Parts: sequence; C-alpha cells; structure tokens
Amino acid sequence: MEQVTSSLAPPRASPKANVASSSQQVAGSVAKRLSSELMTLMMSASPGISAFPKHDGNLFEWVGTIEGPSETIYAGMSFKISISFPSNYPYVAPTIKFDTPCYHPNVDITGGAICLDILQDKWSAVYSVQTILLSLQSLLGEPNNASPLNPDAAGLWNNPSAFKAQLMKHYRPVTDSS
Amino acid sequence: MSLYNYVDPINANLTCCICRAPFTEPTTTLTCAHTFCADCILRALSNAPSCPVDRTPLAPTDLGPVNPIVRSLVDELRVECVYKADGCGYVSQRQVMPLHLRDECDYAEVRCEEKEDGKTCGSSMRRMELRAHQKKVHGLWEQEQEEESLLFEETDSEEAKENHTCPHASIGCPYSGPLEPSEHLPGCPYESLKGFFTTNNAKMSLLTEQNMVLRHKVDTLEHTVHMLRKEMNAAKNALGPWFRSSYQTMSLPAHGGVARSIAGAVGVASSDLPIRMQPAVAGPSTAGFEDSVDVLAPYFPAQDEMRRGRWTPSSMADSVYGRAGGVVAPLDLGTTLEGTLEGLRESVVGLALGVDSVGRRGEIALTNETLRLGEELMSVRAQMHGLRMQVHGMMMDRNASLTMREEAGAGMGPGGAYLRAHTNFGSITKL
Repeated sequence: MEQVTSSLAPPRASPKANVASSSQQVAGSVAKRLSSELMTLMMSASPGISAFPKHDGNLFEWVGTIEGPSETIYAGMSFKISISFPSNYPYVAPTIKFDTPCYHPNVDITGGAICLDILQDKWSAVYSVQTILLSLQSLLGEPNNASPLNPDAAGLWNNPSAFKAQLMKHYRPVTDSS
Repeated sequence: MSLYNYVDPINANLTCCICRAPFTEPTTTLTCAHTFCADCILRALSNAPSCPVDRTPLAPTDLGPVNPIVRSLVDELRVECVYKADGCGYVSQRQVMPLHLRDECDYAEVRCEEKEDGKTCGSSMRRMELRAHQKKVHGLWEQEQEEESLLFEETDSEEAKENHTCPHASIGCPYSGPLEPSEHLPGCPYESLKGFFTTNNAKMSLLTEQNMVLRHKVDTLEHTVHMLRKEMNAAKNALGPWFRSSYQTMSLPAHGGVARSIAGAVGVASSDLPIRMQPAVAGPSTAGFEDSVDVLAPYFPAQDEMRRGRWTPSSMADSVYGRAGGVVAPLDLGTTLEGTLEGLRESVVGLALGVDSVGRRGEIALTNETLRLGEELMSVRAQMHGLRMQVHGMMMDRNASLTMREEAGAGMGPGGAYLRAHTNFGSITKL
C-alpha cells in the first residue's frame, strides 16, 4: 500500500529538499537505471512480455503487455498492465496493476491490484521490469490460492470450465486506445 | 555518481545490479560476497535489511571495501564530461573527472564567491561566464582597470599574442589568432571533419598495431625460411644427386604451390638452385663414370647399368639407355626416393635369384661333364684294352713264328728260347 502513495507522488519528490542538486542527481540516476532497463528489455526480447514508457519524456510511467502462457487457462489472451516507478526506485518496488480486467485469484478484478510477494515485502533492488513481467506471467498459470485477492476466483480455480466462463465474462481484449 | 556516460562498452561483471552502472565506490558484503556501489547498498539496506541478491540478513556493518583491483578497474573506465551536451568534449578516466568539473570545465556551474556588503553573491553560472559576471555585476575588474590597465593590456596583448591555436591544429587547422577555441570552433572547417579524423586516427593506430604484429610474423617467417633453407641444403648434401629428383617431385601439382612459394620467398636461392644443381649432377656422373664404364662394364654389366642410370640426369638418360641395351629397366628419376629404393631392392633380389640359379645350372653342367668324362675315360680304356689284345695277339704270332724258326734251326736249348719269349711277353704285358 505504501507503493500507491509513493507512486502518486511526483517522481522527483525528495524529502531532502535542502540539496537541490542531490535530488536532481537521484532522479537522474533513477532515469538512468530505467533507460538501461528499457534497453535490456528491448534487446532481450523475451517471448510474451513487453513494456514501454507510456509517454515520451516520462520514464516513470510504463505500460506493458503480458501474454497468457500457453497450456494455461489464460493461453491466447493478452493483458495490459501499467507500471509506475517511485522516485526511490529500485529501492522500492514499482506499483503495478492490470488495466485489462483479469479474473485471477491474486488480482483484484475491479482495481487491477496484484498480490505478489516480490512486489511487496519480498522486493529487492536487483529486480527489474523484466523479472516482474516474467513473474506475473508465471503467476497467471500458478496462482497462490492461499492469499486470494479475489476469493471467488480462488474458489473456482479447481473447476476450469466455470473459471474459464467467468474469465471470458470479464475479459476485454486489449485495444490500442489507452 | 552513476551519471557519467561511459565511452567504452562495460564489462557486465563491473556493473552494480542495483543501479545497472559500473560500480561507484564498490562495496562487498562480508557475509555473502556480493558487490554493489556503496550508495546503492546503503540505500537498499535502509529499505530492507537483507542482501538484495540472496535476501540473507545484512547490516551496514557487514559491508567491506572491495578488492582494490576492482576499484581500479572501474575508476579507470573512460567517461565523458557531464557537460558534453553543452559542448565540453572532455573525456578522461572516471577518477579524474571530478577534478575536471571542479577546476577546469568551462561549462561547469560555479558560484560567484564575491563578497558585497558583507554578503556573498552566491549566484551560480558557467565558469566561462564568471569573469564577465564579476566584471559586470561587481565591477571587480573595472575598479582595478585604471591601475591595472597596463597589466590588462599586457595580459590582453599577451592573450592576443598568445594566439590561441585551434584544438584541431594537430590535424591541420592553420588557425592561430585571438579567438578562444570555443569561439573559433563553430566556424572551423576541421570541427566538422573531427569525426573523420578520430575514426581515421583509430584506424591508423589499429593498422600500426597490426603492422607491428605482421612485422613480427614476417621476422619469424624469415627466420623459419632461413632455417628451412639450411635444412634443405643439408638434406641436399645428404641426398646428393637425388636432391634434384625430389625437387622435381616437389614441383608436381600437389606441392607445386609450396615449392613455388618457397622459391619465391627464397628469391635468389631459387634462381641459382637449378644452376648449382647442374654441375653437381653432371660433374661426377659423367666424368666419374666414363672410366667405370670401361673398367667395370665387362664384369658387372647389370650393376653398372643401374649406377649409370642413377647418376645420369634425365636429359642424358636416353643415350645411356640406348648403349646399355635395356637389359635392366632404366631408373625413373621422376619417382620418389622410396620408390626407387624399392625398385633397387627388387632388382637386388632378382639378381640374387639369378645368381642362385646360375650357380645351380653350373653345378648341373659340372656333374654332366664329369659323367661324360667318366664314360669317355671308360671307352678309352676299353679301346686301350682292345689294342693290347691286338698287340698280344701279334706278339703271340711272332713268338710262335720265332719258336718255329728255332725249332727248325734246332740250334738253341728250349730253355733259352722260352726265357726270351717269356721276357718279351713280360715286356709286352707291361705295356
């Protein structure tokens, strides 16, 4: 929940305003790290995941796409997610939510919030957008039904046909207009 | 500062996995030996007290400096001046860059430390603008202009005389005048060519390096060629006239390239090689064998034939073979040494067999001759016997006639006649 607040704050909100140049520097280093991540992501071309800054000139808001892994119930679907980086990234995890409604035990169907340990208490500064997207992709096929955000979905998980029906009811294909 | 732009590609091992840039003040965890920038790991620890890589519990006290080698490796990486976008083209090792920013860079932000009314001015500007600012706002230089006008003129004239030369003088810009490099550069034709010269210089240095390497290789190769030539001479001496044939074998299509290239590399040797060969082959072979032909030919025709074939250059072979009559196949100088040796050995084996059979034939002939001689001897003996019998008959006839004459003469005693006849008889039988 603390991510939400930090993501709402403007990217270069630094608590120590007494040294203006240092906060600029920090913003610069975050931007640097983000552009290096973007480069890595574009170069590595992992299958089924992609991400790119939402607007030109703002590296702190990204939009990504995850394709449902084959041989899971989400195969053939693709989900749009938004990623917003805090100013103290990578020390604090980015805020991630599904823009495409995703019927999943660990995803809030209305808000799109995700319950994934590495996005909360298990976050580490060495994680990157790429690792997050890969984790989310595998989360689709292997939900953690012990701590559901969507108890209905967790209950239906063992009943694939009913789950699929619910999933298709909520799913809206990704459109380019955002 | 992870904000530098690095000139060269960075080894991934020297990159902090938190900021994804080369380590700044690299720091290692003493518990799990992971390395980070000092700032990065301290900030990460302030958020979560565990190692970002493996999540083992970690406190700031568990951090230690990294191996100095790693520190040097990252400190020596070349970086661009942070004011590159503003026009500063300075590039240096990372550890030198802070000094450049503090003391040199014209584009760096500096503060005016001028005190006015007991208050520091404190406004910040680029270093290149500082002097103009101090002159304009604080009247610093104007106040002293009167007194120091001379000095100023001097310095100005010095500056004028100093004749700033273009930074691209090394690549041919003839400019030398009062303009500061920063003022001159926009119009300098060499500025636009800068990139070309940089790549060119890089290429040149690369080529020079390659040239060095190649020169070294050529030296080594020359040495090898020298050694090979020595060895070849030794082999030539050892082989004697055979060398020519092996040389010819070498210039067969299979090894032709090699032979030619060797010949080309050796140069002088290649041209005089055949010439030196000619007398070496022709001398001993012709002169030495003229008499050996005469002396030995009757005794060892086959051997002589072989040796002659062997020692004669192929140009002379025809005439020699013509004289030799082709009893033994001529030596083929075109074949390899092994082939010829094999052929020689076969000839020797053939010769041995021939000698063997000749010996046997002689033995048989000898036996035959002995038998024939024995028979002849026996026939001679038989004839002799016949002759003796005839003589005996003749003697008996004579004795009979003699006895009859004595009896008719009634002269001598029978004993005496008998004695004479007996003596005659004995002498006859003794024939």
